[in-house]
Amino acid sequence: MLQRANLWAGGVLIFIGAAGILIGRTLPQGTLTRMGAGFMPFWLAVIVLIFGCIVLLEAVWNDERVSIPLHDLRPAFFVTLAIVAFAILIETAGFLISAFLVSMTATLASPGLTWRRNLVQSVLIALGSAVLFLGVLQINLPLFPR
Amino acid sequence: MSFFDGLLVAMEPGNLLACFVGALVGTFVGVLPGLGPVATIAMLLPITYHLSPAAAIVMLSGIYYGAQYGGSITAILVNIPGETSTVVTCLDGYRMAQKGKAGIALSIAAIGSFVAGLFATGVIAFVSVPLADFAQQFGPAEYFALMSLGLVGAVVLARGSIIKALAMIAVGLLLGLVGTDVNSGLQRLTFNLPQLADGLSFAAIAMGVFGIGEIFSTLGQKRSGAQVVAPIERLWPNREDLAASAAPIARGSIVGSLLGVLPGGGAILSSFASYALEKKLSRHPERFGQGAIEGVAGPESANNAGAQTSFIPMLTLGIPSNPVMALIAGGLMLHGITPGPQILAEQSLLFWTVIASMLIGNLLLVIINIPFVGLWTKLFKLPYEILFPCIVVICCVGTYSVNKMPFDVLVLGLFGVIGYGLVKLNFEVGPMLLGLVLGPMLEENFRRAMLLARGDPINIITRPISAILLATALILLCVILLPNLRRTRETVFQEEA
Repeated sequence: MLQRANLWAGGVLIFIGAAGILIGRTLPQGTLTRMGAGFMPFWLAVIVLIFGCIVLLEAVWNDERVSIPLHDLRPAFFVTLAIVAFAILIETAGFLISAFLVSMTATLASPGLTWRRNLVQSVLIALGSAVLFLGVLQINLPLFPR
Repeated sequence: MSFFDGLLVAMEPGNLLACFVGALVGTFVGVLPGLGPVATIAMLLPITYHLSPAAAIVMLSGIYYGAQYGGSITAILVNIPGETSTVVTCLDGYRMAQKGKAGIALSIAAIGSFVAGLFATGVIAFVSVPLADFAQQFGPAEYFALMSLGLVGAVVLARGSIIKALAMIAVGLLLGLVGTDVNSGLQRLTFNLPQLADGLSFAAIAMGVFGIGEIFSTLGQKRSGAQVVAPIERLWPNREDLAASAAPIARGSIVGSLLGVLPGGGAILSSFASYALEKKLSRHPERFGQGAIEGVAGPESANNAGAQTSFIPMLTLGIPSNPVMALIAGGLMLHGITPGPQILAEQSLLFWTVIASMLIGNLLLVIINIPFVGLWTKLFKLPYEILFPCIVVICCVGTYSVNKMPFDVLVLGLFGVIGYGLVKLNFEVGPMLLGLVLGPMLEENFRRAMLLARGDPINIITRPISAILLATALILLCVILLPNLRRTRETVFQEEA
């Protein structure tokens, strides 16, 4: 049950379609001549919903296996954490600290790297990206914390 | 404005540098197996926002065709396609390398790519103007029909289920509508978040699904240890080799140029078609797979030609035919330029600069590739442990730098997870990106077409050009849904895998 790809895929599509219809229900539909803001979102969501049903029906007698390998979860966790950390830090901590912490956190996704190597590598990546973005590309970002 | 005005602008130091960087980065990611041109272009998209529009598109296109050069290096020397479009090059290229002819295979691949690149540049220059002129007559109904055809066409070559690929297009179109409705000013599907008023950041979504999502699965995989790199003895082909490759290169250039223009076409389709064609035409088809030089020359020419001519529908009609073109269309939009026939009229210098830069780029690529091939094979061994934190940092900073909104970075992270999940459920994310780019344009044209026709949908079908386009889309859809063809498609892609 948990490993049936199309059962999940169909479910996901039905969820997206239903969510689209639900979120967009307050928007005016208008007429075909003068379409309202809600016209396209509604019908696209209906189409997604229908496709979802077809995929789900197909899945009943013919499905593919899916499995999320456990060793994918570590990179998924640390890389996502690194990105969220950047979103929180960049406005206050400045470029260097943010880039350094992003690199440190992301590198944790790869098992078997020593802390020392991670530290050295992340310092270099932070400095290198500062040169690239602030130096070469002249993007206006604060280098140090405010 | 003409080609030569473009050439002059393309030779300005800034654009020349952009072209060189694009070609260099393209070769680099072509060589690296873990990173392809789609992910790279997605990653560098926000960076190009800080360049001039011409330099931005010159650089991004350099990455695409540069990757076709670089991909052949690992295919021939290590039997690993650095790039999907060089999968067929492994078959005969690696065999040639095992027989001590690695250098010859490499030079033939580069020469073929170069010749095909020149040919494709010429094709673009000659075809674009009439095509854009023709498209100038298009009304909203024709545009709606053309976009529908483009979207259906993009699905033909999707791997796996057609239904799921079509569903992904619809999801992409829906995501493209998030934000403020241009006609009424109403907030659509924004959950009342002010950060979503301008819509979802295209760059953040593209980087999330193509750049970040891929890291999860690549890091999870157990990579095999040290790869054996075949030694290179003789680099230059002799007269016999050149004579054997001349015709395949010519045919590959033509096949690639034709298939690149088709919706869903591009480098990958072109190289497969050329390999099949060469094998069929050969008097000794049994030599294929045993190190036939024709099997390297044809596909390597075709993939470069296809990569370049796939710019035609994007630049002249505004229809991206594959995910890479969707990204480059997104790059144009970042600079406030809507892809379409008006580019040739309003931005003709930009257009010709990009085309002329392809000429320069191909020349640079031959110089970058052949003498320095030893250097590139060393880069192949660059550990992924160093590469992926760099990717994460570049994605984060790049996303943030466009609008200076931390919210966009969260979108990046979210779509990394979503992209990973979709791929695991055997969805293709490419069609979703196409939908995302075309969503607002498709809606606007449909809305205008319906307004002009006073709400009568029959009107779209009775206009001759839109009728032909829609009928083609419908026939295409029926054909790909036929069970018989579905099976052939699956076997084709199984060979690829």
